[in-house]
Amino acid sequence: MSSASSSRRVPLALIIPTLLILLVALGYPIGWQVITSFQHYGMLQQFGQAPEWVGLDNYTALFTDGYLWVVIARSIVFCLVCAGGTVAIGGGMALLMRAVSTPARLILQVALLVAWAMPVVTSMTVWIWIVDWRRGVLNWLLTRLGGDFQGHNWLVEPLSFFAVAAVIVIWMSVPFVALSIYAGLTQVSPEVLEAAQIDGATGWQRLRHIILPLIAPVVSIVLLLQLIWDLRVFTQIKLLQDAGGFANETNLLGTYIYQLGTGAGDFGAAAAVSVIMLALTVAMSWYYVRSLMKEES
Amino acid sequence: MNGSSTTTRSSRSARGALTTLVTWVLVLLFFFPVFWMVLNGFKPESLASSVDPTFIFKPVTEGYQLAMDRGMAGYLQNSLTAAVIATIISVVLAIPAAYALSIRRVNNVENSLSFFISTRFMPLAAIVLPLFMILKTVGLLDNIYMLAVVYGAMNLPVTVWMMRSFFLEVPFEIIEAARVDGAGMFREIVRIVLPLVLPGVAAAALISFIFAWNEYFLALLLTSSSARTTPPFLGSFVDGRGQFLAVLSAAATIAALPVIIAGWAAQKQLVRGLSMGAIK
Repeated sequence: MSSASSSRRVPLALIIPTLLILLVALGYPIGWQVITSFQHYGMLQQFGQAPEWVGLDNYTALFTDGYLWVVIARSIVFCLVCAGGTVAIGGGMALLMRAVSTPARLILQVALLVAWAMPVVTSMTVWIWIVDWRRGVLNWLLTRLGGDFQGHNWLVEPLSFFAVAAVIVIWMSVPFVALSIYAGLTQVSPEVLEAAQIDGATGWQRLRHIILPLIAPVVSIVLLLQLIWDLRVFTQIKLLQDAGGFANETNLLGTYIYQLGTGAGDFGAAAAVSVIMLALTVAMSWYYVRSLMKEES
Repeated sequence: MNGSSTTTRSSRSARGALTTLVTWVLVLLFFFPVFWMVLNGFKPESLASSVDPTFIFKPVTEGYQLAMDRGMAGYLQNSLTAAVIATIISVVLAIPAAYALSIRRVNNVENSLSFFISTRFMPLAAIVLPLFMILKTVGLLDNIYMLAVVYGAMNLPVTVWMMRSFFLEVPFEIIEAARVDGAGMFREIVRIVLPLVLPGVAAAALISFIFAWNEYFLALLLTSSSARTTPPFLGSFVDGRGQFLAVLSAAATIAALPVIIAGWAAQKQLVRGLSMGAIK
């Protein structure tokens, strides 16, 4: 009996350091956010003055302000568009990688890996140059093609700002999705597809009735990951704002928290938005984790 | 009969040509920004920011020299320190944890597992303020070792999760045989399991390294001068007027080079590791 309980205790000891580190590194910030979101925590508190407990004031102020709702709606739409676009394009590319010859596939794979491995800041600078209004290659190309795009500023209009941001975010996320779905596709046995073809199934029917059901788990997991990652997008939006967008008209949740906290010094409000965002994320990832568990058992 | 088989063949080859064409267009789309960055790094500043894009020019190393004059070597060294320590931390902690989540299972694996996975989704913006405040209080802001520890903790869930899926593939018979031979747990991990999952450990380590090497947001807020890493240094050239395009491209090329080489060399493991992390 003692050996049975010790054999159970040993693996627990193996995992406890990791659990503890995560608890401290991630549990502490969450606790801090929740507490701070109920306080008035401004510039003075940063320099040591005791924060004042204000209950739900931060939340009421945010929810009645209206701007928070705009930011939440924007973030959700942006996240849906980016995640949907990424998975559609990534899935298409995965199917393409199956269809082309091995050398072409390998070259595409390398291009995807290189794009994935580029530091975000680095690829952002190239993208900012591409859409730059004075010397960007996009305006240059469109003008060459006969449009009147000389000096067109893509970042001033919120809608075209988000279009540019979506293209960049999708470009950065497609490699991961394409490679993951392709890995899922390699599990589909060629014999089954061949048999279906002999039975007279068209390409579309094979895709619809054989390939898609088989890769559905991978696709749904990748889609959820993208939804969660795109909801918390920050760096791309921040750098595009720095490059010429108007922050107030282009804020998403991540940059809004940053603006409230680091910019305006209102840490209480920033913490309240963080808690709201955390709740949104948990609501989404809960489904993800559960579907993953079902998958395993 | 003969005619119809010819048409299917020719339509098939037309479709083959089309898919190949699409593939090349995609390769170009994903490669162009990288290519353009490398090209710009070898241009003089006036040419890099000219209105008409230039493809043919006499290469200069002005940009690289300027980047080095701005102290890039120090930032690179900080990045290296942070990434190496973070990788060591997450790998050393993840190996026993992954073992306890796969081969010698802890009770309620599902609970610990969901905990690991859910920490992966923490919005960065929610972590960074409290982290900033506490580091400021204890005087560990702008400290490269602290940044390394933060990165190590951040990478931990991904590393554990990825390694676990590799550990699960170790045939149980091999482990059982080792146990029958009287191997203790430490021996079992080091001598039996680790050699088998080495490619997986390498992939996890590489991905952990790349995340830490490329991380921008935390580095921007938690460091200021002596511990500043390369990404915020690169970010400091982004000013919306594009005055430093050549320097920036040169510096970015240097920063991206190790990652691109590693990605190229370990392509197979990386693809497998990435998809393992997502699928299983």
